[in-house]
Amino acid sequence: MDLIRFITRRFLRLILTAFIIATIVFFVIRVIPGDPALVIAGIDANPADVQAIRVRLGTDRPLLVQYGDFLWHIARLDFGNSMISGEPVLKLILERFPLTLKLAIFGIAFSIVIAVPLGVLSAVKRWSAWDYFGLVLSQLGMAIPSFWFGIILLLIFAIKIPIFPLFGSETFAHYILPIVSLGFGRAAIILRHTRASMVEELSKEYIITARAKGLTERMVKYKHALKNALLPIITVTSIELGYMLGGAIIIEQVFSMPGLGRLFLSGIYQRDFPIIQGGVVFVAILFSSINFIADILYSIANPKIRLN
Amino acid sequence: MDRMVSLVSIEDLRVAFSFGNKEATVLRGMNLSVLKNEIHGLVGESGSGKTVTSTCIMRLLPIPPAKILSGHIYFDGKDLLSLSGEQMRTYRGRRIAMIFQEPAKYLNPAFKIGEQIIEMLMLHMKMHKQSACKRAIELLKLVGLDEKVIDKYPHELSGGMKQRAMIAMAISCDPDFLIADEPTTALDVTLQIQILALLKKLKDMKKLGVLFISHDLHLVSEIADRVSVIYAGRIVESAVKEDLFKNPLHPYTRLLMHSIPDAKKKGSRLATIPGQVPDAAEIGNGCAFANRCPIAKEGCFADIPGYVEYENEHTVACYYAGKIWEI
Amino acid sequence: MGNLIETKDITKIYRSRGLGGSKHGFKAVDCVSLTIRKQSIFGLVGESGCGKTTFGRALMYLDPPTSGSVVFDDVSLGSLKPKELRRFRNRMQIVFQDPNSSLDPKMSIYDSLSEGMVNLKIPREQRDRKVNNLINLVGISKTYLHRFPHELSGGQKQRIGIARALSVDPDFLVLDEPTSNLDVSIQAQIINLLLDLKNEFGLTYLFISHDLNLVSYMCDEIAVMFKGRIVEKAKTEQLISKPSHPYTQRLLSSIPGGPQRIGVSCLNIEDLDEKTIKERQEHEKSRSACLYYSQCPMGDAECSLSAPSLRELSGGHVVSCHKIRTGK
Repeated sequence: MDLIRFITRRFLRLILTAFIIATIVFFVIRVIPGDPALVIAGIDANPADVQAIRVRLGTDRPLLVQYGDFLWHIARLDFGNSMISGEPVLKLILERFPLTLKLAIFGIAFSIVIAVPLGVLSAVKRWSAWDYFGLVLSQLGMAIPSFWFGIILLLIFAIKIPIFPLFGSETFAHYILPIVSLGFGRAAIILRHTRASMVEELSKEYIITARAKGLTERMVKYKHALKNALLPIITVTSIELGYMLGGAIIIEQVFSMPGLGRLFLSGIYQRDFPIIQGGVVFVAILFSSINFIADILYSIANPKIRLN
Repeated sequence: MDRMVSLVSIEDLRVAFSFGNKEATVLRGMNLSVLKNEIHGLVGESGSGKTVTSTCIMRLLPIPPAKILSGHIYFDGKDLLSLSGEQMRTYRGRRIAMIFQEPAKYLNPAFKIGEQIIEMLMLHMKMHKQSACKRAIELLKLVGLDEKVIDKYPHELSGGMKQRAMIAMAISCDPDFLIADEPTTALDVTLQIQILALLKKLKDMKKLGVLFISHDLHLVSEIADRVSVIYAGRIVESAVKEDLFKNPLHPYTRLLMHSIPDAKKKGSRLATIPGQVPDAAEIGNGCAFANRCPIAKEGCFADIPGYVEYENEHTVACYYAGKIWEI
Repeated sequence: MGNLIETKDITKIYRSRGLGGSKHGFKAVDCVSLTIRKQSIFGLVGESGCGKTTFGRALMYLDPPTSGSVVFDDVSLGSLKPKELRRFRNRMQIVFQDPNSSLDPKMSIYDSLSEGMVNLKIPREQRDRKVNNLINLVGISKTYLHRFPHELSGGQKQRIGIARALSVDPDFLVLDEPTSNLDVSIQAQIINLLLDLKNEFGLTYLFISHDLNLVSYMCDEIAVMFKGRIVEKAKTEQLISKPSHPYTQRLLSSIPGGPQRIGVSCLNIEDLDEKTIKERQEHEKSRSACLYYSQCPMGDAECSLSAPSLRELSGGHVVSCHKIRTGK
């Protein structure tokens, strides 16, 4: 019963968030300089033609009327058509979204695979060589921008030593370098959180009990402490997944992959309002949903919450 | 105490802790023995070294900052301090078990109670999951818990139930010796008495040797056969329970008893012990209690008093043991 | 000597919002009426969760009651405006259980002791004199005035807590488990101090504790609380010699060292078996049964249907139980 109420409230909050973000985006992009009609017509076009385009696009109407129209359409999940290409925005988004999602998910998977074991090891063998290695790695990961790292990877592994392809997204090999550059930075954060969480759990009283029971050190650390330490990691990971979506946009540019990011960026350059609006709202809903799912997963994993 | 007869015999145990460049000796020659089928109460105030003692028997002291300077802990003939880490691990849980003060903190919140018992049975007794499960249910019933508790998480149980679960866990592998470190301090009075009764029943049933640690003299008197009083890292008096209460010989014990309030004392002032328990780093060569003792003389400050055994194995470390003065 | 404090039907309900926005009310204190005579020590005894701490705070309007009245020296606290209430505060003070968390670690002892007086706008010279007096009174050396809490022991901190409470010259102190976190020998020092101060300044105390020994030693009158309600109230000698409510009897029989310590003759306490307790707990869900029903060896049908009210047994000794035949 409570779970249903919980889900309902979160869902409503999601809708509210989407609405607020849509409103903000709507007004912000119309305030910044740049007229889509000019982009379409070209710099040399005569004013009459530009005005005709404006009428066609509907950008000549009063702002509030445009806003009302926008809300009306959004409510029916109609994101309109691209001002430049004329294609439905939703269709464009859904076509490109899978690639971005793949990048983000594999990116976070990569992060977890390197960060969590290393974080656990760092905590268990504090101040050892492993710990310093992890420390250095996480410092690097946080300092190095992912796009720079991506370019370097390209230089080394696609040009100097041509193992991986330079651009495109046909095969899985195309995904490897982007995933590594995306995942490396966020792995640093996950590593530090894992280490801190594990260190905290190892200092708790139930660990003393575990040892007093005669359990082996392996059981104490990797069964008793780890299970509790992983709980907060679920929350951290979901936040990182959100960041990954953002990072994917840049990485798509570096690696020339036709994902949501590129659609988005070109929409911004071209002042293609529907694309920008649709893109932002879409990502906002996605981000909220990820957090929501993470909360549910956390409450299932944590027995204290699950059984209340 | 003849170490062959005792189940556990601590002999002249000295343990120090170092903070920064200071080193403080927290156990200054502990002597204690526990027999089979006996509950031995260890009474002391905070800072007296009782928890260090229990942790040391289990060899769970963090070394460093702790350092075992000298001494022996004999268990069933073997000196536990001479065992390797792995050998000691095989003793823990299987031959020596321990229960702690706050079960909420000392039970793993992420595992069901059943799981926490079964893992011990599978590890120490090499049981298969199925039989371990059956045995776990028996154990729960033995400590007065419903068999459904096997599937519950610690936070779903009340304080008293959690402590019973911890006791079930501790006795699951039929240990010979149980250390109970303030197991009832965090519980309500009415629950306290139930837990004590449970421990007594289990001790009788399994002929356990129990070291029951507490700061509450009267609580210990409910359950113990023999009682030892610890002050500043050393036993100052040890006797059969009735003897200790009828005839406390050490001034600290005597003052302690007179400072505990109850209705009978209403209207009269409680006895107090001036000052406070000394800092381990600042204890001199003489008796640690001398600076607070109402009957201390010069000699007390110079040399630490040795143990003198009186009737019925009533042992005291005091030059003026048994001296009565007006409180 | 008149009554300093009269509380009538104090109730404190905590409302919590569940995950989905549902409202539950938890009655921490349920219709508690007490009268504390001037210059007496009133003991409130109960186990954890019984509501005694909540009551202490409600009494002082620190966490005002949901309903009910508190009359302090003929003034109804509920009728005071916030400004007036604040001025009243210096007449009643509280000493907390945990000496470690009740002093601000960033404030020196001097600052902690003078803070109350600063609020009352007492001039510096007077404050200094008072602080010196107070620290003397509680037996701590003046050299500690410029030290910080972490440099003091638990017992010393608790003494400072008491000194701080006294800094504004109160008439009434609520002592909420003031010695529970202290060692036995330190407890004795603090208890002696509290009794000396009471005699010297003519103070009135509400002494809250789970330790029946301590309460019977210190207090003139005792009330026993269970799940937010008073189940028995009497002068100490009466309560100890004739404990009437089954819960009081159970508390007395659970005293380590035996009730003989306290001067009570043997009590017959039956323990109900698990099954009976569970069955009765189901009954309790209808919420109008006596709150002690599920554990009570004397409980029967009458008890499962209605909660008893406090009735007088004899001269000031009241009990809340269906099964006790009262004098009246």
